[in-house]
Order: sequence, then structure tokens, then C-alpha cells
Amino acid sequence: MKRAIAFLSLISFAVSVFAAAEVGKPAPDFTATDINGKTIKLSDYKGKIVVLESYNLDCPFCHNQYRSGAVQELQKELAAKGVVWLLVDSVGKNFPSYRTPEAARKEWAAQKMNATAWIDDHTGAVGKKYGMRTTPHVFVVDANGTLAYEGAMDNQPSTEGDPRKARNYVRETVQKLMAGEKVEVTQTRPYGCGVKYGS
Amino acid sequence: MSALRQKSVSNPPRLRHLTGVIFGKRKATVLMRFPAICRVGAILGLFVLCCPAVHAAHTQVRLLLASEAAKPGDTVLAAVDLKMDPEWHTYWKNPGASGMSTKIEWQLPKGVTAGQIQWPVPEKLTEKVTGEDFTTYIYTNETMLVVPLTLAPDLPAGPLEIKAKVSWLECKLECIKADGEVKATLTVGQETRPSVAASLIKEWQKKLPQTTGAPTARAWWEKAASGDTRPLIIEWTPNQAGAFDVKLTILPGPPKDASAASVVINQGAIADFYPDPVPEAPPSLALGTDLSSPSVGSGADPYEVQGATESLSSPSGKVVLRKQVKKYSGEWPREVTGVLIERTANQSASAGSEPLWKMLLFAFIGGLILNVMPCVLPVIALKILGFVNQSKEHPGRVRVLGLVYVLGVLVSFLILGAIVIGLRAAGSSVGLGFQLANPYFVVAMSCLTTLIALNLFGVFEVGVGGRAVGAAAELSSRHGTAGAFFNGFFATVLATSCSAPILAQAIGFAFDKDPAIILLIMATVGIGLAAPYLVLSWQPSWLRFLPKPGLWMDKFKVAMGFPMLGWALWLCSLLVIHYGERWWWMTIFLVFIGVAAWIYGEFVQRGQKLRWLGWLVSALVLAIGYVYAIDRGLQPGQPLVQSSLAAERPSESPKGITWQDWSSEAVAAARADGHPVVVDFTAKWCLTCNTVIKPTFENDAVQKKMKDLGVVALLANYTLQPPAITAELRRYGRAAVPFVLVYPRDTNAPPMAFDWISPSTISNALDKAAQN
Repeated sequence: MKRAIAFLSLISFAVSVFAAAEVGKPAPDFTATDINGKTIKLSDYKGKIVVLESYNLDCPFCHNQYRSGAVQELQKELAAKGVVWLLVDSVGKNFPSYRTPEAARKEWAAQKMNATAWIDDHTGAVGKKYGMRTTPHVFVVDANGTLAYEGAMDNQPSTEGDPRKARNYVRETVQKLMAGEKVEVTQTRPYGCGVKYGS
Repeated sequence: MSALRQKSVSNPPRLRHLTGVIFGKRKATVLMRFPAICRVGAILGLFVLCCPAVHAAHTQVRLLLASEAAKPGDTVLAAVDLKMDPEWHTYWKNPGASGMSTKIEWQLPKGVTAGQIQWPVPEKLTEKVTGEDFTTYIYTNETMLVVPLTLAPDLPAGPLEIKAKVSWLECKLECIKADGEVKATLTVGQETRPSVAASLIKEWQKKLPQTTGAPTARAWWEKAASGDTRPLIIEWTPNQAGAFDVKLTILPGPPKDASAASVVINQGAIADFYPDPVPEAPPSLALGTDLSSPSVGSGADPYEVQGATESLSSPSGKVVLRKQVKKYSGEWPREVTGVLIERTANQSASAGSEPLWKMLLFAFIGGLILNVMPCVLPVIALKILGFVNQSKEHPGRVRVLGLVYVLGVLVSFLILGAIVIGLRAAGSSVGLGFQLANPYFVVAMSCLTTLIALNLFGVFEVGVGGRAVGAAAELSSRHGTAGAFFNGFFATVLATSCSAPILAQAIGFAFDKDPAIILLIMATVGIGLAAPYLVLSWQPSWLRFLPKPGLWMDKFKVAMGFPMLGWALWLCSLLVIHYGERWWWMTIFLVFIGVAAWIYGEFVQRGQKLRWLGWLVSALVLAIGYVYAIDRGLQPGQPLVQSSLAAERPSESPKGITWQDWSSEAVAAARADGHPVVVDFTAKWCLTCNTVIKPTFENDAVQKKMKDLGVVALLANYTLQPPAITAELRRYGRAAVPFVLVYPRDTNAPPMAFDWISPSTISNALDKAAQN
């Protein structure tokens, strides 16, 4: 009987949650809080390109992106073009990699982040809405609120090596969108560590 | 948790050489909480280089060679052995939805070349974190990556140092990148000499997917893509259990003779397909690639065979799997490579299997419940009454007897477990209750229970000294230990035979598992059965909660004879299955047994003179009864043929639904016509089936609902345990009945499974099943 109940709940779960973000469709709107307590609403950024990055610095893949400063440079470069960059930290409180807002603010400073905000998503609401499966897993939303790109940060799924030498899909997508061209690569297989969603 | 978090950088490897030919060292380069020095680093803008720290990795690595000496031109097997701490894992060549495969960068002397890594079959880890399954392919505890090293024919003699840098991602709650330098020495010369590690490597080679003997499998696109995903069907004829490397050409559509399979029967428990990394794999997945300069343009997988696997039913008995392929760019692939996994039933993960501790808890409770089964209660209750007499005088003795009794129960359960394991190993499909499908066993059990009833009535006595069972206390204090052990054994025989169907629910899951787990579960049931006795022997003061001994005990004993007699009759009635009308002869034989027992009790046990004559007459009665009623009448050697056994229910449901015989084709056909389907797995000897499940289906409201919804009702008669039904039950991790499946009208939805139903649960399930 118990097994049956578990089975049924599994089915209903699978049906109800299967609504991840899809390229070419409107990006799911969300309201969240950043590490400074500020409310972040995706639809408030309409008219701007928004980058969502599933983030967990303890993951060696993310770590490799940030330790070289490559992502920070990209954030700065895109910020100058008016692009919004949101870090989505979906690590649950039951994991060692969970950051309290205070710890997150310190990490933000230490890493010299040039992003717009760091969303405290420890409930996993935003991450699950987008189907973020790894860190890093990036999403680029165009100025109309349509998802233009989803997948890996670049074509170098590695914990080593200089990310600057890789083909960065975020930069490429933003450049194409700004130039009004068709985005060539709209979807790639995300690589990285599994997102540590809380229980 | 530290307020400050910083990252270390990859610090240069610090070698910690161990002695010996084979050695290794470990080092990890990431992730610690760092003290205030980090702040200084950050202020100086040196965060990139903050706080180098050696962080003990959770994986130990070493390099083994199958030979310590080899000739030029030889191929020597090297093995990178990774030992993970408990709960940590590393990744297969295709890590799956996240993670990173382990990499080996060889530093080989001239003339030695390394081949491809041969990866042992990984474990599949499926996490439900969002709507989709996140599947990774991992190794826990230990794995050995085997690599053939080829020695050039002109290699000069002498010692060679084989070195490699192994790097891996290890994950538990967090992921850590770690690496280690390993090395080993090989002497090149005139002879080939295996090393001490050779046999170990050989063992691990058995865990590699087989490169030959793979079943002929076919793959085709089930239909056009919807969005960026497309269902892929992989089909083969099951042959033997194992894991096989395969390369499959994907046909554009179903071949003409494709199995008409559409019903999801299980989520990848019976068989599976683990996809290789996509051929145009990123550099990180290739062997020993230099990662510092990845070439632009590579690195993006054009597609991904996702982790989730659905098994589809197949009337032709083939394995049919459905995988989802997600495309990121380019064309749909024309072929896939990977590992076909075919499990035997006992290897298959049972559907919805519960954690072991939960199963052990169920097993314990199940064992406890056995104590109040009608056929166990008289025996066990009497034992406890024995305590009532004994506890005051001999508390220490009572404890010893208690323990011996527990031992008797445990040994019997372990024997039962061993029988199950043995039968299963011999290829016999066994369910719990298998005894009851055996007519000889049923005959023997009806005789035994009749004798117990007569014994309880006081017709004759049992015991070493032929004393009254009412004086069991005295008996056990004298002849105690053997008696107590036998009592444990006896309780087990009674309990498992009478209560198999109920017991099965608690421990049915174990029959698919390892022999060790079967024995563990069996032992736990035994402990449950023995628990009340053990507790009372340890805490005799609790006996005050039991009634005081007295004359009522004798009356109680006699009263308990009646359920026993009832049980004997029920067992007799089971013989209908095997002998039809002839079962009646069994009851006649029981009368002979009764007479023989009475003569034995009256003239042998209680008699003064001519006891030998009593013996003789008693034996004569038994012999006549046997020849007349069993040999001539029942004819146990000639059971009815199976075909004459019509499923009983259709004729018994005048007012309602017609139950048809179950077959997987019948299920598929009914679903193809758009009907919800109910399958009732039942057996004549299953008490719960007949007292709970059957009346539920005969409930007016349930019957009306089934009619209104156009439900097709199928009856799977497990009475004689036909192999097809045993296999179907096993698919769902069941070893016994009752079991009920409700297939929704939507053919893509998996069936709902029930071990127990009430009118309301089945009605709800039917409503759900009727939705589209």
C-alpha cells in the first residue's frame, strides 16, 4: 500500500513539475529575493537582456570559471551593454555549500562579482522552474522576455583550463541578440555538478 | 559554518611516495573554509591564489599492473584502482546529467602506449529534483579502470616506470575535484611474470561490459520529435544476464516485425541501456587529452541520450526499452553506442523497493503478527502458559529456554531461507507460499494439524516423556532445551505454512534480493515470531499481566483445538486444486488418523496392560486408512491436469463483471481499445485474496463503477504458480499474492499497484484510471 502511494505521488509529481523553460517560449517569470533582501522580479527587466546563471562556487566547474576572473570580465562587458546578470544560488540549507546571505555578500565581494544580483534561491523555486540541472547552467532571456539560449556556459566542460579560450555561448548569444541576428546555438548540454537542491 | 568562503587554486602536487612497486598518493585541490588570511588575500586582490590547502580527497587512487615482468611486444594490463569513501562517488565515462568522468593522463616511457580505458559497468543514480529525472552513472566504494599497455617489440630490457596523473570529480553533498599521481614499475626482459595484482585485475575485468555475445538488438525512432526530444526504442530478445557493449544503428521508424508494445511495465528495472558519451565528445571525455588548450568549436554534445528508461511490455517476450534523446544541435543521430544491461529477476531492482531498515521493520512486525495466527496461537499460547507455571521457581532456567526457543525459530527460518535460495538457484520460480502449491506438502500439513488438534483435545499426548501438555512447564524444565528448540522449529513450520500469504506481504520483496538479504529478512521474521516469548523469559515479572494459571488452562487448550481443526479442513480443501472431487478422501484419511491417535493415547500412553497390542492396532488402523483412502482414493501421485482448472471467479459473479484470464496480450489489447484494465493476481490458497480482495471486487458499488467505466477485468490465477504470472509478479517486485494492478486508460501512464485494496481505494484508483 505504501509503495502504491509512493508510486502515485511520484507520477503526479512528475506531471505537475514538468514545465521547464523552453527556448523560443516566454521565460517563466519569477519573484525572488537577493542576498541584500531586495526583491527581484524577472518581468521588471523587460526591455533588457537577462542572463540567469545557476551558481555554486564550491562546484569545481563554477570555481574554474570564477577563479580566472573570466566570468567577472564577461559580466562587466555585458553590464556595459545594459545586460542584467543574475546568479541563481539554489543550494539547499542542508548542504555544506549553502551560503547565508551574510556569507554570500562576503563571497560576492571577494570574487569581485560584476553581476546585477545574487538570488537567494535556497528553496529551489527558481532553479526548478527553469529546470536548472547543473552548476553552471545558464539561460539568456531576450529583451522581449523570450528564452533565447539555454545550456552550458561555454564549450569547455572542464574544471581546469582558461575559460577565456573557450567559445562562450552567453557572450555569443548576447552579441547576436544585440546585432539583431539569429542566435546560432540556442541549446547545449549543460555540464557541471548537479544542483544541490534542498530537501 | 565559516563566515568566510574562498577557493583555493590547484596547488602543485605534493608527492607522498609509499614504498613498494605499487603505490599511490592522493591530493585534492578545492574547497575549504578558510580563516582570516583569505580576507587579506581578497583585499590584496589575490583571491585567485588564496590559501593553497591540501584537502584530503575522499578517493584513494593507486596503479596496479597485472605483470611485474613482461617481454617486448607484450600487452600488459594496467588498472587504476579508485577507492571511494562511503557515500562518495566518482563517475563513469558518460557521467550523465552532471559530473565528470575520471581522466588518466599517462606519462609513459618511450615504446609503451596506452589503449582506451575499459570502464566497469557503473551504477545508475537517479534523482528526482525537478520534473525530469537527473541520472548520473557512478561508481561507489571501489572501481578499477583497466587500460591495456602495449610494449613495443624493440623495447630494451630493464625496469620501466609507468606513471599517470589521475584526476576525478568526487561527489557526496558537494563535489570536489581531486587528482593524484600514481606509478608502478615493470621489468622488461625475457619472461612474462604475473604480479600479485593479476588475479584482482582479472576479477575486475569480469565487471567490464562484455564485448562479445551481445544479444542482437535493434533500435528505431518511435515517432517524430516533439520539440527537442525524440523517443528511441531499443529491442532485443532476452538471452542471458549481463552487460554488453553495443553499437546500434537507429532505424528511421519501427521495423515491420516490431513488437506491438505500448504499455509501460516498469521503469528500467529488468533491463537498461547506458549510453556512451556522445562520439563528438568534449575533450574532457577523451583519454589523456591536454585540457589547457581546448580547440574552439568542440566541446558541445550535439545530442544526449537521457537517463530515464521505460520498459515496455512485449507479447513476444522481448525486452523493449524507451529512451528519450534530446537534441541540442545538428541532425538526429544515426547510431548510438552504449551498454545493454540485462538483469535476471533477482538482480532487478524491484519497483518501488523500500530501504532495508523499513523492510526489516515490516519483517519484524510480520513475524510478530504470526503469533496470533489461528494455527500458531494454540501452540505458542501454550508455551506462554508454560511460563506461567515456571517463572516463579526457575527464572534463570526460563531465560535459557527462551533463548533456545529463539534459536529454534531462527534456525528454522534460516533453513527456509536456504531452501528458497536453493530452489531459486536451481531455476525454479519460487514465491512465498510455494509449499502450498505442492500437494504432498498440503497432505502432510493436514495430517499434522489434525494431530495437533487431537492433541489439544487431549486424545493423546506429545512429549518426550508422554506427559500432559498441560504440564508442559515441568516437562521443559526437565527435558527442556531439546523441547524448547523443537518448539521453535515447530512454531516456524506452523507459522510459515499457515500464514504464508500474510507473511509474504511483509517479506515478499526479499525474494528478488541477494541471498544474504533473504537470510537477513528471514531471520528478522523469526525474531519477530520469537519476540514475545523472549521478552517474557527475560522479564518474567511481566507475566503478571497474564492470567493466573489454573484449571482454565486445560479448557483453553481444548478450545484452541477447534481453530486447529478448522485449519486442517481448510488445508484439505486446498487439495481440490490438485485432485478435484477426490480431495474428499483426504478427510476420510483424517478420520483414520483420529482413530489411530485415540488408540495410541488411550491404550499405549495411558494403558496399563498389553501396550504392544495398542501399538499394533494403532499402526494397523493407520495402514488400512492409508491404503484405502490415500493410495486407492486420493491417489496423490496423479494430480489433475492443469487445463481442467478453470478460473473460479467468472462463474461466481452472476451480477456483474466478467473476469477473463490474464495475459500480457490481453492487457495490451484492452488498453489499445481504450479501456482501463484491472488485473487481480489471486490464488486459491491465498486467504487474504479470498477474504478481502475478492469481496471487494464483488462489492456492488465497485462492480457498478467497473461497468460504468468500461473496465476490463483480468484474473491472474496464481494457484499453481504458472511461470508467466510468477514473472509478471516479479516485474513489480512481488513474490506473492494478493496483488492488484490498475492500468489507466491513458496508455502512456504506468499502472497503479496495490497489495491490499478496500472498496474506496479501488474506486479512487478506477476514477483516476478512467481519466484521460
